[in-house]
Amino acid sequence: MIWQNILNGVTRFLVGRPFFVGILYCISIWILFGKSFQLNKIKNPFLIAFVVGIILETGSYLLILPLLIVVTINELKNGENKIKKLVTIFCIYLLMYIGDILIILFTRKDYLYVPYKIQVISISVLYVIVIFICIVIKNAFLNKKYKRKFNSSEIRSKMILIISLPLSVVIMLMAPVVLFMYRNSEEGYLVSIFNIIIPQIIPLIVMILINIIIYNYDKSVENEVKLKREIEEKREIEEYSKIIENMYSETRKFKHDYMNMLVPLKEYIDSENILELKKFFYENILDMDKNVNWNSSNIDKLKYVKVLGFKAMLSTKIISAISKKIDIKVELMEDINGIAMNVMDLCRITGIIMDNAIEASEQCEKPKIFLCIVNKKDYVVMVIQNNYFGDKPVIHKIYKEGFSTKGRDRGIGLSNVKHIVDSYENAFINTSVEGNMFTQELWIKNTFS
Amino acid sequence: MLEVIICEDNTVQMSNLKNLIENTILREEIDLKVTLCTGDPHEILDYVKKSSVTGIYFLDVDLKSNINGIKLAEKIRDIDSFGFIIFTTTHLEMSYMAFKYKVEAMDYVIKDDDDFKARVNGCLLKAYNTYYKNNNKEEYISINLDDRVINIKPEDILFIETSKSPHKICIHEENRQTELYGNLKDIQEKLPGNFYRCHKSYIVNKDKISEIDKKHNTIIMTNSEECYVSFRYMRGLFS
Repeated sequence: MIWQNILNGVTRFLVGRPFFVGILYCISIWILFGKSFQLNKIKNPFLIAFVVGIILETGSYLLILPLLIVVTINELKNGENKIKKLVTIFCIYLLMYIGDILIILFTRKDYLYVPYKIQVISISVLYVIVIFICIVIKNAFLNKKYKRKFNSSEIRSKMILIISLPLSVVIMLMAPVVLFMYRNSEEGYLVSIFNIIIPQIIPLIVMILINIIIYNYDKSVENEVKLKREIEEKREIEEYSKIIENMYSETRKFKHDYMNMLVPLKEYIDSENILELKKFFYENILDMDKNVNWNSSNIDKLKYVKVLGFKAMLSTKIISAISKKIDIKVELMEDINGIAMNVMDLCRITGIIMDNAIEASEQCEKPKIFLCIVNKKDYVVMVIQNNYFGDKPVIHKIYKEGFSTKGRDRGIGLSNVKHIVDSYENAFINTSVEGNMFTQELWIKNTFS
Repeated sequence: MLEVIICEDNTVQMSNLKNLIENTILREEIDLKVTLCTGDPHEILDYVKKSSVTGIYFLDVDLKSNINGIKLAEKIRDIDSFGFIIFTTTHLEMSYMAFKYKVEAMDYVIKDDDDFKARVNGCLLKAYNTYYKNNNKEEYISINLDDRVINIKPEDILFIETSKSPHKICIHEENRQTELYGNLKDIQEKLPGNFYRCHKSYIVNKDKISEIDKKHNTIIMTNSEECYVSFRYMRGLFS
């Protein structure tokens, strides 16, 4: 008998309302987002709604805040659709709260446990109101096309609006409801306040404020990282410009000397003095450029790389190689516009491979590195080739984490590269060793999305 | 039939090159002919499209036409995938690697260099020998998916495995690793009989197995690389 009573009580008072509120929530989602919502995804929101509803229904001040925090953290941990889950929780809050207010308004009574009949009535009224509002909203927005993209500050202001609006409505309603009950209730109104308002509202306010703080903190960290990266990039581009300017001034010097040398030639030719002409030519002109500091690295070929962050990384590595007196040749002959890979990942891979190439070729007497980027049909191919000294690298070993020929606590570079390339469906890495040249090719297929 | 085709818009250099090649052909008594010698790239494209030959092409990089030598080479490569492309140029700095990857060019020669003659001869003979070594072609299997043509000698392959990313497979050779799109089933059809599917993710070349560790279900290859063998396929391995 006791079991039956408890069961009865539980189903009627504890589970009944949350269940129906959960269904109402799902129905309203379906009305509002019907087309883009798959039926099997309903389970998750319904579950969250149900659990939150039960927690709220207990009406116990001590239970609600901790339980809700636990539920929230658990759901947010799973990572996906954080915002949707938060929205779910808040909406259920709102719905339950409105439901409670409706009960109080219409019965003018204070219930510790709302009787069955009243519950049914209140829930049906809730259904009608909410579904009506959803249909109205849907039709109102059906005509407008929200196709433009919002930038991040707009999103933030929208989010703050969405959160603060219901919050303010709820707080606003608190006072009149309390007043109303004070005047009209048949029994003490204090029960309602402690039953409904405080246990539900205070945790809600706390949670919302915490979420806003966390969201803002996240954003600020993200912005800091972005800023740092942009400063780095700017510095790298500046170094690149410096080298280009140096090359240009060397070229100008040469051109200037060259023009000066041609003038005496004219004299010799006019006076038809072949002997002197020959002497002058072989002594002065033929080896004229031996004092010029030609930079034969073709670093200016980087002008073809139109992806800015990538160009900065390449130029840094090439400049570093030049400073170590490595004969590095850059081979590019056509524009490289878009690369179907995240620029950060691309820069990381390039950085690691170039560092390896520089370190390996330094061991040789005449270090040589070739860097080549071409468009081949649908692919962008980047090839880095370097000579090496010593034992031939064993290809399957070098990609293993922790393997390094350069000492302990190293060896994560190439395994990171492999990890990144594996995470892309459209990227491939080929490695080969021929003679004393070690070659790595990165093939990235253009995905047209 | 192998033919030599020259594209060069400077008439002096063109006749120079033509004479050089014809002399080499006579001297070495090889079965070649210079069938087309012009400065107009479109003419060359029409000829190649019409007659579907395999050619040894000497292309000038700086053509004064609207197609430069590289674009011409790309179009030729689309039609004639076995031809040999050699670039001629006056530039000191050549993007040899870029050409090799973009159009599978064989080599390049610098026009004003001292060893211009020697290099042209060298390229000509190399192309000729490569073409007529027919058994060489049979040793290679050509995997042509998705616009990438990969030529591999089956006898060099140690094993092939699927990568963590979907649809990707990786071919392991002694000195090379190549990744490409594909699945093991399709690849196995192109391979000779000594390749055995020993695991859901591995095809192994039985000739290159060094030892089999039955306890840990691994196969150790001749370069001490390891691959797995599944219980199901273990027995078939020994047959």
